[in-house]
Amino acid sequence: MNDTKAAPAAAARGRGGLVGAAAAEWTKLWGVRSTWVSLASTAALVVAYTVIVGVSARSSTAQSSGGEPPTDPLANLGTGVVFMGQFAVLALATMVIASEYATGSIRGTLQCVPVRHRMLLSKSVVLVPVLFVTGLVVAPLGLGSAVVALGDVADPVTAGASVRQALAVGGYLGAVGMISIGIGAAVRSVAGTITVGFLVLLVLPMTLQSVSVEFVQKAGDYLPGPAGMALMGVSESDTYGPGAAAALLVFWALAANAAGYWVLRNRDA
Amino acid sequence: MITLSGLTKRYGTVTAVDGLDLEITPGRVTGFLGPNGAGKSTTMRMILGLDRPTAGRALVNGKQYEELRHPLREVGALLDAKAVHPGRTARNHLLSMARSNGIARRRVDEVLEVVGLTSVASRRVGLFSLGMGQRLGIAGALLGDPGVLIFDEPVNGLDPDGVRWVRSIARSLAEEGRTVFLSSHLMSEMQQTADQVVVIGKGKLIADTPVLELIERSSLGTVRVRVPDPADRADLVRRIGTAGFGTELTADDALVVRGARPEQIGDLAHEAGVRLHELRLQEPSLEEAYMELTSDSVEYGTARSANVTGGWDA
Repeated sequence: MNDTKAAPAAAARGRGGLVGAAAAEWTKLWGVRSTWVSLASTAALVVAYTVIVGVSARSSTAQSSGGEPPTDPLANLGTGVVFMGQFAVLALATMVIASEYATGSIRGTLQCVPVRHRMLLSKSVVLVPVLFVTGLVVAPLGLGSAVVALGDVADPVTAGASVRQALAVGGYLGAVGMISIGIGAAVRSVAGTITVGFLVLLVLPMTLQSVSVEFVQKAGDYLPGPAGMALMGVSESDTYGPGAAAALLVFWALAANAAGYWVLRNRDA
Repeated sequence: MITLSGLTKRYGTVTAVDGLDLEITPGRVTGFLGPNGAGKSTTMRMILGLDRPTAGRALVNGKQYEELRHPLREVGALLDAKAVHPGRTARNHLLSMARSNGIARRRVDEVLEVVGLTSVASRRVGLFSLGMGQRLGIAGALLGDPGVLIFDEPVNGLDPDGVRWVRSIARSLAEEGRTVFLSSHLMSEMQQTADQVVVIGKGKLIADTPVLELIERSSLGTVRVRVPDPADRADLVRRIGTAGFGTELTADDALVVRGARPEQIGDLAHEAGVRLHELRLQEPSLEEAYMELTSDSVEYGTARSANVTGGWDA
């Protein structure tokens, strides 16, 4: 073993801070198999949804039954992300933070990065770009499967709209990841994070929208899930446009992380 | 150097750590002793900035843990060796730690070598035995080559070889001038490893003293006497009892006298004309000295109820 004084000086050229914290998170993220499983599941769920919806839309058009069948591939992609794909992302974000509480490894993480806001931020700094890129990959896959499943009943799709939708999917998945990280830091348990995430992203907005009080319905429109639908152009109510939807998602991501940070600051690890 | 001043932690009405003032100095191994629930782990967690003190401060090299720019390069800690994601490999675990503090990658392989885990570095931590996990924890503590090391129960789950290995690591780290602070329940181990011991009970400081001094100060030294003749033995036991000392018959022809000096027993034997085959002072162990110190502050013990096990309350 080296001399006490000399050795740290030799190692001192490396970086720490947020860059180091993010590098550590990156290393941790790709060091477990479940990351790949989650990302692959996101794609698989979206593809599965578009296939089911597409095939059923084709047959319902053939029988010309009531209601307007979902024949827009871009819309099917968007609803696939909201109804199915995003929950694999929720699971991944849960593993990134809440499972550290389950294994106790959060204490190791905080020993490496004791500054609470830096630790929390480093998780999103890594996860959000990864999820955005995942969205860019999932979108063409889901779009392709939607078009194939719909066959000749598919609405025409323009290149510009496809690119726009891919960015929206990436942005929404990134937002879901960051919101889930905030929830995980606040709730500190795997089951709790998934439950709260599921409620906020899907169940609560649907419940509120079914309440026949207009004020409550409107409030439901501003939750992250409906904001994501507005961003991807699959919203049932046209309360606001994609720009406002993006701003809302940023707001929810920051709010969830503020809540997580508050818990991190005020509770023992 | 670790400095605690007025360090206090309360959970509701329970005071886990109660106004600890303490300086843990470099160049020696400081053992941290106390009954279960005495507040040892809470104290260590506060030093590492994991738990927030209700009052007082815990400083490492004059700073709070959170203020350290590269904490792993100043403090290496092993708290709970099992607290690693089971799906991660040993190398990935250490590499992520190294990156967080700007520690060179080659240092990961160095510490794996030091703790003897090189051959299993690519194995998932979930498959590790308790002892291997403990070694990985120690590797993590050594990673940043820190001047301060904190080990909570480092020999838990280690085989005798591993225990000796931890002892030699702790000793050599202290000899290199580092601050080594370790808790253990194994008194014999602590007696061999530590230079200084800090004893706490119910969150309060009971003793902060060199190990040898603590043992010498103990009143629990015993004198072993062997008397070959049974009648003589009974006679001597009676006389020792009259003189106010407690006796305990051990094997065959020996008796152990508590709290007496050999010369006092020798004189008693001489007066009675009792023939002795052995008269020997038995130094108290750290364990006995510790038991004596903490007998009043056992949180979850049976010490006060009765001499169920004998000897516990002495």
